[in-house]
Amino acid sequence: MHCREEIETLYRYLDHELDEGEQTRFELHMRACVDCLRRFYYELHFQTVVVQTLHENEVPPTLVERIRLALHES
Amino acid sequence: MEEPNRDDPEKQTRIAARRQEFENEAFPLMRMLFRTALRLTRNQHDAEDLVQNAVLRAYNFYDKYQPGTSFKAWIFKIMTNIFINDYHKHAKEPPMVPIENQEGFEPNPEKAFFDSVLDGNIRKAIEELPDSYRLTFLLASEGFSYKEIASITGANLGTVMSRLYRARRILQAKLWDTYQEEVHA
Repeated sequence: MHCREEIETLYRYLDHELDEGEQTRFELHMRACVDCLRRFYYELHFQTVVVQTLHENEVPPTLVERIRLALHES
Repeated sequence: MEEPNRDDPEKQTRIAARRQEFENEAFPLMRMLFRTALRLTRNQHDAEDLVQNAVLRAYNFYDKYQPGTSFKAWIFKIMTNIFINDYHKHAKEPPMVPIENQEGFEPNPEKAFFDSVLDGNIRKAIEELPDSYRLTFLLASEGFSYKEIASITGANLGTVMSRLYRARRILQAKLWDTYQEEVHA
């Protein structure tokens, strides 16, 4: 990893927090920098796996029903 | 002051319409609220309580919600405040992992090891994060912007970014350790 200073930019890129100019600059940088490109795929993969895992849980229908009833009683 | 009159049909219609409006906003977010609550409280019973309290409190304060702003951020802020004030205080904290040990971890992009890490390990690693990191990380995973997370948690932008960065580092280091243990078991 040569681009330690870029890690913050990479996270902001992944989190859609860069403005258009910063985004273009970072994409150009990744074209030239294999380390950053690899790191990008690694972080993207990590985020995807985590979000998939977190999003597996369904809300219990009994909870939704309980809340609906409570709203109607209040 | 006007006495509430249960028999006033016009008033009843107004209340019903307002409740319907609230339900249309809140119910589609229920799954998102619940899965966040589940990872915050670490158990189903407290998670259900937390969501129910948050939604009912949001309904009671619905007149304070400013139309045009994000309802999702507003209701998550209410849930976050309840969690911090009521649950966090009583919750048994898992032992805090020294951050310095995890900070030195260097990801190994050559190995796509996340595929081999079980979902249960990911959930466990997230639940073991310190509260403020876990909250920030969960909100980011629900698609909130840094600015929204700052507003929901009451932290400044720099703190949000640093918590998110550290949470990711700690998780990756933990999952890498788990993977190593499983490979060499």
